[in-house]
Amino acid sequence: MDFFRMGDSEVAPFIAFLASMNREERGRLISDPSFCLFLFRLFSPSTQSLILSLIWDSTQLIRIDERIEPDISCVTLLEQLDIVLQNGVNNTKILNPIFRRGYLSGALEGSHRSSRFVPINSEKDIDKKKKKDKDVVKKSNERWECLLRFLALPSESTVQNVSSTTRDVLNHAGFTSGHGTDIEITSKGFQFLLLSPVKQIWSYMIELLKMETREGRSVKELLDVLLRMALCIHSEPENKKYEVDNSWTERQCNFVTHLRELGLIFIRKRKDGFFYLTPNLANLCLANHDDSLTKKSGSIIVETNFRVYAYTSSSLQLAILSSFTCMTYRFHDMSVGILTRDSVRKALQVGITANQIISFLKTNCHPESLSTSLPIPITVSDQIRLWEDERKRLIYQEAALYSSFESEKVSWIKYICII
Amino acid sequence: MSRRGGGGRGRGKGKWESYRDDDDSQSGSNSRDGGDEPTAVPKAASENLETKVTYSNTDEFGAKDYRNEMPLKADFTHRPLWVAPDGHIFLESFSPVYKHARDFLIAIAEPVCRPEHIHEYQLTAYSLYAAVSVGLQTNDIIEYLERLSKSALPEGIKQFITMCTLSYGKVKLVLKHNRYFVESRASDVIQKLLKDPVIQKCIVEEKVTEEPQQTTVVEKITFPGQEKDKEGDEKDDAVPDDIGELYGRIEGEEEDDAEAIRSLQLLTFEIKQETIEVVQKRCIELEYPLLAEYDFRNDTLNPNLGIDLKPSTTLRPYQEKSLRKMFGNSRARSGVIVLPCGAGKTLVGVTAATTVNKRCLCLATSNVSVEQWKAQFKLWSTIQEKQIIRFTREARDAVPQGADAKKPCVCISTYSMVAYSGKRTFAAEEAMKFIESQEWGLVLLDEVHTIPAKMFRRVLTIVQAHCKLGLTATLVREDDKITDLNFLIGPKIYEANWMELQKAGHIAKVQCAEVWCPMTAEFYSYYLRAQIARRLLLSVMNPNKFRICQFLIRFHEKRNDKIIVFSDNVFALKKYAIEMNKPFLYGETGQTERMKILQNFQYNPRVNTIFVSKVADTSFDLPEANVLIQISAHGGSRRQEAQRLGRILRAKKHSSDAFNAFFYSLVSQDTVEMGYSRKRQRFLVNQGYAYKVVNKLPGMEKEDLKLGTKESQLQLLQQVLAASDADADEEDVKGEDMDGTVKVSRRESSLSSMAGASSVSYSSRGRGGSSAARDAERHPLFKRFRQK
Repeated sequence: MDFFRMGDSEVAPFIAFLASMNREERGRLISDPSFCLFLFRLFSPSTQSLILSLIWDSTQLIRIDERIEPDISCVTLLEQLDIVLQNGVNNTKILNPIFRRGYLSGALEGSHRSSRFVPINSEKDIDKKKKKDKDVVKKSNERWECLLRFLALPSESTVQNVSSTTRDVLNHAGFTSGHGTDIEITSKGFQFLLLSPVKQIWSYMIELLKMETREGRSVKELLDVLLRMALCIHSEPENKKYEVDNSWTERQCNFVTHLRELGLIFIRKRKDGFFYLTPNLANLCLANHDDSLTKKSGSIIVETNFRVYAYTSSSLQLAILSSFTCMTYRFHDMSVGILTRDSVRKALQVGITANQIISFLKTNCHPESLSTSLPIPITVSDQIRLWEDERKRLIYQEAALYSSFESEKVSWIKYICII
Repeated sequence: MSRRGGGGRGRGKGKWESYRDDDDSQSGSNSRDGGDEPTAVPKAASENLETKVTYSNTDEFGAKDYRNEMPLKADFTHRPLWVAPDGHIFLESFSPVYKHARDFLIAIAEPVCRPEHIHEYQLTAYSLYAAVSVGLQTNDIIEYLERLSKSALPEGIKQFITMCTLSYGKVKLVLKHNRYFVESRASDVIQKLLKDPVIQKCIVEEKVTEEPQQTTVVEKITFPGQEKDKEGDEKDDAVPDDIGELYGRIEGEEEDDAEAIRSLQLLTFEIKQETIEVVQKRCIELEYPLLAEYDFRNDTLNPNLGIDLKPSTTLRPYQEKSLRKMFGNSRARSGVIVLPCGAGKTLVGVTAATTVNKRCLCLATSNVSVEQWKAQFKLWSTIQEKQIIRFTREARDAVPQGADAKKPCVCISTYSMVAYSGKRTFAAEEAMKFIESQEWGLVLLDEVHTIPAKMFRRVLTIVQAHCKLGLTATLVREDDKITDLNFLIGPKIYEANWMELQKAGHIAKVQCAEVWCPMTAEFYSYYLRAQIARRLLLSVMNPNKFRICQFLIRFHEKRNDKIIVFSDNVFALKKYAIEMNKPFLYGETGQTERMKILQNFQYNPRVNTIFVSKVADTSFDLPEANVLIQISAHGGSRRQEAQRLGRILRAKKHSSDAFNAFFYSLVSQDTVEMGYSRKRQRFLVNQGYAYKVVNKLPGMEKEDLKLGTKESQLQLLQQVLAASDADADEEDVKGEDMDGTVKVSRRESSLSSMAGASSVSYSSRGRGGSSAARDAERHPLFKRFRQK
């Protein structure tokens, strides 16, 4: 589960988001057993053990000084989330009884049951199911790539593949700038593209929730659906087909449609009345997610003459590449591009940084160029940085311009400006 | 000079490869103007795939989308090539069949760039012509290309290859037993030629003969190289069978032409000697250009030179390979061999001369290099002193008279001498008569890229030669059209890969660096207002550049390196050299002084640095030098950059993995030099060199360098501004200019060139009225300006 904690000081983005919510709404969430269960899983092992010991400790009291360095940051984090409360009396802290109750009931029910989804068992023909599984994986990846492709290369053709909701989220998140047909990726958006798929999906979800919050809508409804789905995956990964809940509100239904668009769930036809969970959804909740799965071997060779060869047919990869490369040839298994000052500046102008470009090229570097030399030639990375630096050479200072003098001594002022 | 217009032209296109070097377009136009009749070039030679093919698709990223035209083969991972319909070919250098593909591609296509992993080639009409002339057949080219390619070969490529090769190389002009024969294995072509009225007139009355079985045994020509490389024969499991098999066939065919001759009927007819030119011209018009081959073994009319390579002389594998291509079928083919500077072009030339073993005329670009050629001939071959005749303006050996004139010899001269059209001295006239009267077996053309076609044509009309071998490091390629020059000499026979030679230790491993020197504020202020020529001078004289140059010299002198500093601008050259107390050498330096400086540089441990102008660009052999600092250059000329790098490329004694030579290009920041520098580097970058940009030199602040104070810098600025316009210009290398004509130097009208200075005087006049009291209040800097 450590991957949710990026480094020791960082917490999972969802927890950070939770901490930023208003207390009332958070309180409502905490009362839900499935939420408690889900949240618990997001914590780091040390936090988890702290919570567990508190749950079973009859006094339910924390005296910070008594514990063996229980990582003060854990406690403060839990305090922020209202999971640990100030007792008021003799400076002790107690576990929020609502959370305790919620977690216990959730744990007793089991994550699957607490999700309250009705699974459909279709074990009639296993072969067909396997095939379908593959299909689901492929489809869900395609959906997610559509979004990334739109982000990497907003154009008329890519815009058709994403809904207005998605566009709104990306825009609100600051991943894209501009409106209508004039959309461009921002530095933040490019950073997003460089993230691992797990982090991408999480940060997208958070941005969506933030947007909802900002527009004054409660996120509980949405989280309810999302987290319950996530719990299902965790419990019984082999069974991924569930009945559509008829009690969903309209907003929830829309949200589900959106999840479908993102490829987090798969619904073949609406009238089927059931949905599949996809591995992408699993990214949201699988503990000990194997990061190596998401790390594909790279495909890009950068030459000393600034040519870029990408051994890929993924249009997403190419879309990212083309945001700062001038593409010249496209073959089935390989594409050729060239890094020019203009093409890199185009990227720099929308706020993509030189370091982002270099790190993208490095992380996606072809094994062949790794084996013989540096992943990308020093001269190329230097040059990309220099192209960035040359944009920062002007220093602006406040000044006043006096004009319309009669004599031509004004030219002195010009000298000063030049010097 | 086209330098001025150059900037804008390149920029519009944006892509590196489409940039056309100033220089080259200049020489291109040279070849077309001039009163001479246009040289006939076959029509197919001007075909161009890039403009011809209309690509229907571009993908969503703006790239040419060839996915529909190029379906992948099932085993594409084992094959190394992508052949795009526009003639560009991409080769994976890490493919197991790389070696197979490389030799083949270099024969049929022009290398565009060859860095570490993926090489790019381009099929051109000219490169295919060259392929045919070394003996490849249309079907072989298509078949082998098809097999190497990851996808099916595009139809357009097949058509292009067919179109360019079908008519080429079918007919050969052979001098045999002192009679000229037109030879072909294609009976339809021979029939066509025989029916042509123009050619009919030239035929010696005798019916077409089917050559009886070859009576002379063709013995293979061997060179004293290391043992033959067997790289092609190694069995490699990863190599698809069909590729390996065909490779063997093509390699074999190249060497055993005799066998091919036996298996195919050879049709010949003899033509009258005096009508050769008519026939040649007519054949080009008929789209069957004649390949000239010289069967020197069977030439009994011209006496043998009787020289050989010394037993101690060994050829490197690539030198041997290039010569094998030239003498592939026991005859000598005319053409150009392209080897990096310092890779031993001279030895290739000497070996070719000893192989042909007939009278040999060797043309070089300068007097210094004439001396060097002579030394090399003596070093590598068993030639006698009296067999070498130098013919230059300064060093002239006696023209052989009487019986001696009939004896074969090696004559070394310069292009400008031979092509000179003005009045000559009596002795020179004698020498020219000698050259004109001889029938040369071989003409060696050193640095062949530097000669404009016009001059070359003049040389050719004077010199009667059976075989022409051009040697160069930088065959000009930016001209997509096949220039006249290429058809005049012959196709490119061989081109070496710089990076591979470097890896094998045949040439030095060079670290290239572009050092950015910030302009001082005062210099930049004037720079912004100056005319272009003055701008260039201001950027060269930038005090920071001077300091960096001085720092680098000190740094490398401490390491006991030998340093050459290049400056095209003579004013800067003198200024820098005198200021730093180093010897310098430029166009006006006399021959003896030149040799003295060069010898001192080579052998005197106290002379570690010399300053040279562009006269030293080519053919100055300075084997000791390992550091090169360039402070000013000729616009965006890629060729010059490569030539200069060549000065330090000769393999160094202590070769190891580390860099053992250094090339610094000092560039004043924010000036035109930056853009030029980029352009200049393109050729080398495409050969796989990487320029490291240096904008800070550690340790510089500790050194005690000149021009550190503002006062001294302003003093320098004054000198620069006071310099005459003539000084601001680049050096015009007079007598040795490649045109052979004394160039009228480009001093443009006083109007424009004065403008830079006049603005200064203008403002000073304006200030003339200001009172002394006001002056006193002013910043000291402005006082400086007022003094102007």
